[in-house]
Amino acid sequence: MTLSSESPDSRAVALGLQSYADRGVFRGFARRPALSGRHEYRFLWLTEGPTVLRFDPRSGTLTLPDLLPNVAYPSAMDRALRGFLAERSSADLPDHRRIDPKRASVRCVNRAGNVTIVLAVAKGHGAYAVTKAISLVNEIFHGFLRGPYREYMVENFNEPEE
Amino acid sequence: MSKSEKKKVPAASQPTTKASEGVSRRSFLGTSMRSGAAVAALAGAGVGVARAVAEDRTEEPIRVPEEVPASRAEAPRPAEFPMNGAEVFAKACAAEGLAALFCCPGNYAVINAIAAEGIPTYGGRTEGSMCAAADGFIRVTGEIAACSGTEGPGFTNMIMNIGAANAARTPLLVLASNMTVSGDDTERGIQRGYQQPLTTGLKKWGKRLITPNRVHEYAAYAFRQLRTGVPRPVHLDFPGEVARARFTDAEELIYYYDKSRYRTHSQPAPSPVDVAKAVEMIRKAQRPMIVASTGVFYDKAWDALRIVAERADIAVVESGPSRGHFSDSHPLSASTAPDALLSVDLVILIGQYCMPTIGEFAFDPDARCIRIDPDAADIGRNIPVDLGIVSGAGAALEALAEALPAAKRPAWRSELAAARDAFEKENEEFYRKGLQYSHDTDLVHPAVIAKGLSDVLYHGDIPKEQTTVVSGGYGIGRYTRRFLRAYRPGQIANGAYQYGAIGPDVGYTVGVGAAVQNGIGPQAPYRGAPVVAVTGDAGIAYSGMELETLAKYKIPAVIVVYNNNAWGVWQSGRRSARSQHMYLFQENLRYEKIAEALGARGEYITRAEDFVPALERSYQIAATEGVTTLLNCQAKKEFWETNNYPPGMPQKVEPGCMSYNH
Repeated sequence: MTLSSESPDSRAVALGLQSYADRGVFRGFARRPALSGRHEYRFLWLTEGPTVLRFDPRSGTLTLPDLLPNVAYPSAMDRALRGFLAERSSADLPDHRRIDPKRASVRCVNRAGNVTIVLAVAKGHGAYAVTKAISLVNEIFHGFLRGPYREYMVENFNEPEE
Repeated sequence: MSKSEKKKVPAASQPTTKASEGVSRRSFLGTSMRSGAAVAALAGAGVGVARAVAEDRTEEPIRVPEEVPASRAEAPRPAEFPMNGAEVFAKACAAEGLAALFCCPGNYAVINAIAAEGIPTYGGRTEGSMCAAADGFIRVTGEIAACSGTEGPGFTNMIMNIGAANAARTPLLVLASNMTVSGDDTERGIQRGYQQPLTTGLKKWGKRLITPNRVHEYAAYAFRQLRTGVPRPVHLDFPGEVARARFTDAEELIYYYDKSRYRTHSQPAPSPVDVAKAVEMIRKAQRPMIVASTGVFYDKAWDALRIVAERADIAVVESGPSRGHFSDSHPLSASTAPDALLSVDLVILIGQYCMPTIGEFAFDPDARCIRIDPDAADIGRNIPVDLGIVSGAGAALEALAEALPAAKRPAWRSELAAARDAFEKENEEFYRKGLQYSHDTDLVHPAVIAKGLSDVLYHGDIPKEQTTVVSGGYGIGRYTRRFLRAYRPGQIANGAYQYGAIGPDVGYTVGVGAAVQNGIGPQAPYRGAPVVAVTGDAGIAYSGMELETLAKYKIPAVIVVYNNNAWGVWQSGRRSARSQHMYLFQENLRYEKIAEALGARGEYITRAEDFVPALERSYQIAATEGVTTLLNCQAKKEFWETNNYPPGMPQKVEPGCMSYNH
């Protein structure tokens, strides 16, 4: 399948992610077709291991599977993360930081301690959603995880102890 | 020692006389070494006469020998032909304005010649710490300083701090003697070794001087490297044939030119095309931010930086080994507004010599990037650029100040203010928790120290611009960096910057203190004011002996030691069997007594409410009597446990006041 034969949102997601790779933000960028029209993207960015992003045009979901490992459920960290994600759509945030719930809504799923971030994308807002998804990951790592999670970062993301 | 026993120790060793009147050796021995090695040593003296003499000697106070101030007060005696090679070199250093030399004995001909030229010189206890002292001096003045050590061991003692200076891009002149060329490879005598290979990767340029009549030429090489482009250490080693060579007149030297002939003041300036592109990118941006780093400081471009920021409402965040070239109190400052980093849509890196990799600076991935750097070969390394401009920081800022149209970005200013407020609220919350932990444990939590420093240095009677701070330590630094502020250039030396050396802090303090004592460069308005240093109980081990150097030169300082009985990374040891002991020290060690034994003051602080009074008292004594105090702040290692004492060891966000990696 070529980009031109894909849905507008699929194309927007692909082009949006490709632009980060073209600008050098992502390294090792790879796009793999998955089953049933879904696409999977892998790239190196904030962590030593690859970040994975999937887009399913049928359900209109952008998924970052297992973005955060070893987050117990229930736990204070899990609750804090859900609160942090809810705040991303708060009307108190300036527009450039806010995820407009009319265009994309955010939630997370914790399966066996692995947290997956899911954005439900309103039809026609693929370009918006992919940009917000990438900014959201940046906010998680530079905002949320800069909270009381130093040991978590050392143990799970090989953050230097020095 | 149990806690009840510990409380019997006075909270502070209060001076009963003026601090400067000296510390009785008997009182020191009596309180700290009563049944220990000192008594054994005295008993071991043998005959009765010797014992009587030893008893009498215990009444002698620690004092600075009269030769110290006397020799420093002597008039300079600049060399004239005939000169030896060391004198030729020293004369070149004087002509170049070498601002200070920090050394231990060794490399005698060179250090003596530099002193005779009238260049301020300081002799300390270890070459490594003197290397750090020179680095610290440079980081808060922007002027070039030198360190020196003897061949072999003295030189190798400097290695860690040469590495630290290299990572910080410090224009440090490293000097060392190195036996004789004629004896190379023989092991004749002692202390032989090839030095230059050992500084490979830790310097900008280096040379073993082997041709005596080229000594002035190589001084020119050294200063050309130190004063142009991106600075790093320059390392020269002097064999005896060069240092002791005799020259009756200038004709015997192959090159003997004035500095106006062997280097240029010309700086790389931006092309008008690049400036126009930058102006257009700034014009289109809604939330632009300048990262003002090392190059801005060394170009002394703080006025141009402020003009550019104010002209177009561009936020400024600092990074680098020194802070203060953009005041934290400026409404456009983002150094204490970490949340605002995530909003930036245009990053302008100016003089950011030590480059982070993608993701290490917290900017939004959609932000565009301009990098301004004098080294074209470095632009694009680590972080891709949308526009690269080959230019010195000062020249680029002056060009932008000319070319930028005025613009107002009120929403961006409001967001910066809100981000600063949020950060202060978070700090207040850390302090509130830290105070509670302190009361719960009867120990001093690091947030209490950090807040106390802020209250005394910036919110009390001391003008907030006055105190220059060595911001060091490991875990304690995670708190103090959040509370320390810089309101003018060179106000904070960022100790652990990039290389992460935790130990040089007291060494840095010698250099920083010397710079303030003499009012060098941006320290001029604060000449003679006390300096404050922050370090930990791991760090104090590396350079604590330099308390003696501070006392000898009456450099007024307050050294805050965060004593948690462990290396900061102690938790790593409990993840593995049989490992924890490697990370721990004896508990309740009395570092303040070491200070007293070295001619400084010491206070032991075990309660939160005692910290601020002790800091104020020590600052006052430093200001009025020139006496350094070590404040030994007793804590416990468990304060780093996030689960039991949240936030534990706080993480950092870069760039800004918390940063030390880049």
